[in-house]
Amino acid sequence: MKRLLLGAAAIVCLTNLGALTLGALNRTGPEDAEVTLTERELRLVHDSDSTATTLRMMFVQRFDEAEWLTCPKLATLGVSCAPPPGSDMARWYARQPERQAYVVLEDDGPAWQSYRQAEIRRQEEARRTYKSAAPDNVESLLDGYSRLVAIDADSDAAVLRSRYPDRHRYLIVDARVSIYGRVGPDGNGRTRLSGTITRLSPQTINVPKPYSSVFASMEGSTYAPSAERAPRYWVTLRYGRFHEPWIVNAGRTQ
Amino acid sequence: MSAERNVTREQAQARADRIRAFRDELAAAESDGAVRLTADQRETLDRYHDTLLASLTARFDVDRSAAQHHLSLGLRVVSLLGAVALTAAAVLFFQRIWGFVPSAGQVAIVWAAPLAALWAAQRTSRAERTLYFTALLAVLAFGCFVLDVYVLGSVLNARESPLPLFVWSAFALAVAYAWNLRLLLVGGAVCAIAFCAAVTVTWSQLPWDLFFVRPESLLIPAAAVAATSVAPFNAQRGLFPATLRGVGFGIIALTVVVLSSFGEASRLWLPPRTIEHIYQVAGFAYALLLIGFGVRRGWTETTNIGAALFGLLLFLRFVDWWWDWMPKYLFFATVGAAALAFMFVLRALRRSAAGPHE
Repeated sequence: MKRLLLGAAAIVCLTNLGALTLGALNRTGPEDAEVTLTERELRLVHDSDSTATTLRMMFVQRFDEAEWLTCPKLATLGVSCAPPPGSDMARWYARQPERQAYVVLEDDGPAWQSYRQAEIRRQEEARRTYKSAAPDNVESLLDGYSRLVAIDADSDAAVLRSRYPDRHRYLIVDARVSIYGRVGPDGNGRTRLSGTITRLSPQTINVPKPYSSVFASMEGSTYAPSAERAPRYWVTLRYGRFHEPWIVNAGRTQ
Repeated sequence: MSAERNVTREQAQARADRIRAFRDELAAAESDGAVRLTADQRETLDRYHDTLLASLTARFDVDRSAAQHHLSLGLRVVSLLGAVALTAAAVLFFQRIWGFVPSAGQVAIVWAAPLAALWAAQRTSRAERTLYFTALLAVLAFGCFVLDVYVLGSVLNARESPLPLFVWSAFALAVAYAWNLRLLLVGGAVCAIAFCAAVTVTWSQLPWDLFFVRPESLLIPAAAVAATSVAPFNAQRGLFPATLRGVGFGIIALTVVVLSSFGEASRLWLPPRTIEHIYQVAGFAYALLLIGFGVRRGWTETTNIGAALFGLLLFLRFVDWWWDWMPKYLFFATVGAAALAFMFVLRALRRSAAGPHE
C-alpha cells in the first residue's frame, strides 16, 4: 500500500514538473510570433464565479467571394467533400468530424482591408436594394471588428511559416476545421460545401499578474464595437515553439 | 478462520453474513423439529462463531446485524456525496481566489492540494477500518489532481492533449489499489479507456477528444480492461474483478448500441446502412455471449449487462421496423410480448443454472 501511495504522489509531482518543463521549453528559444492586439481581437471573458482574468481570441473568417477554406483546401487537411457511394448525403455531411489543422491569422493586413472594403460595398448594395434595411453606420461597426483574419491552413505549421515569414503579422494557431453544407446552390444547382474554423486551441488566454491589474476596473462591462468606443486595452502576445501563447505586455489605451 | 490472513473486507463481510444466515436457519430448523443440537454442541458452535465474528469485527469492522448493514450502505452513499461536494468546493474556492494569486502561487496551491488530500487520507486510514472517510479523502485527492492539471493547462495556455487522461488514470488506479476503492477503480479504468481511444483517434488526424465520434476506438481498450479482471493481481481484490468487467463490457455494449444506429461513426469502409446491420447482428451475438458466459462463470454483472443490451437492441430494432406504421398500442403490445418471451428464455437459463437440488 505504501508503495502505491508513494507512486500516486510521484505521479502528481512528475505531472507538474513535466508540464512546467514543457511550458518553459515553449517560452525559451526563438518565438514563433509576436503581435500586439487590442480589445477588438482579445475580448474579456466574464465569469461571476471566478476572479481569474481571461481573454477570448476573436477572428474573422470569410465566407464571401474571397472564401479560401473550400473543398480543395479541405482535402489537404484530410476532409473529404465526396460522401461514399450509396450513403445518405445529409447524414454523412452532418456527421463529418472536425479535423486538427494549423491556421494562419493575419493581423490588420491586406486581408482585413479587403474584407472591410467588401463589407462596405455589400452594405451599400443592400441599402440601395432594401432602402432602410442596412445600417447607416457600417464603417463604425466594422471599426469594432477583430482585425485578425484567417487566411490559410495546413496540417504542417512549418510549411505555413515558410509561406508567411513575417512573425509580427502572421500568427500560426492550432485549430479545428470542419465541413458544412451552405444553403443555396453553387451555380451548378448543387448545395455549396464549405469549410469552417470551429475553434482555436487555446481559444482563451490566461492573464497573469501583474498584467491582470490592467483589466481590474473593467470587470462587469462588455465591449460593444463602434467607432465612438475605442478599444480600452492592448496586449502583446508571444507564441512559442509549441504554438502556445503567453502575454508579455499589456496596457490601457489612452 | 483458516485463511483469515488473506481475506479482503468484502470476503470478511460475506463470512459474517453467512454466519448470521446460518444462525437464523438453524433456529428455524430447530423450531420445526428438523434438528436438535446438544447443549455442548450448541455452546461449541456459538463460541466458534462468536470468536470468529469478534476477530472479523476487530480487523474489518464488519456489519454484524441487518441494521448495521443498512447503515453502512447509507455511509457509503453519504461518503460519495461528501466527496463530490468537497471536490466542488475546492474547485470553486480556487476559482474565487485565482485572480488574487500570482501564477507561481497558483501552481504551488494546485500542486500541493492533491498531495495534502492524499496525506490526510493516509492518516485517516490508520484510524478507521471501514475506510469511509479514507474513501472520501481519496476521491477529493483525485478531484484536486484533476483541478491541478486543468489549472496548469490554463496558466501555461497549453494546447489540448489526451495526456491528462493518462496521468489521471494512473493516479486513480494507484489510489484505488492502495485502499481497494471501487469508485476510483471505475474512474481510473474509464480514463485509461478514454486515453487509449483518444490516442487511436489522433492517428486519423482527428482531434483527440472526438473519440466518441469514432467509438470503435473504445472497443479494444474496453476489452483489455475487462480482461484484467482475471489477472492474478485482482484475484484477492474482492469486487474489483466484477467492477472491471462491468466497466469494460458495459462500454463495449454502449459502443455497439451507438454503431448499430449510426453507421457513419464507423471506421469501416462500407456503406453506413451495411455497417449498422453488421453491428446489429454483432450486438445480439455479443449480448447472448455475455449472458451465457456470465451464467457459466457466475458473473452476475456480466449476465445483467448482456440481458440489458439484448433488451435495448431489440427495442431499438422494433422502433426501426414498426414505429412509423404500426398503431402505438400494437407497438407496445409487441414490445411487451417480446419481453415476456425473453423472460421465459432467461427463466429457462436460470433453472438450468440452479443445479441438481432444484
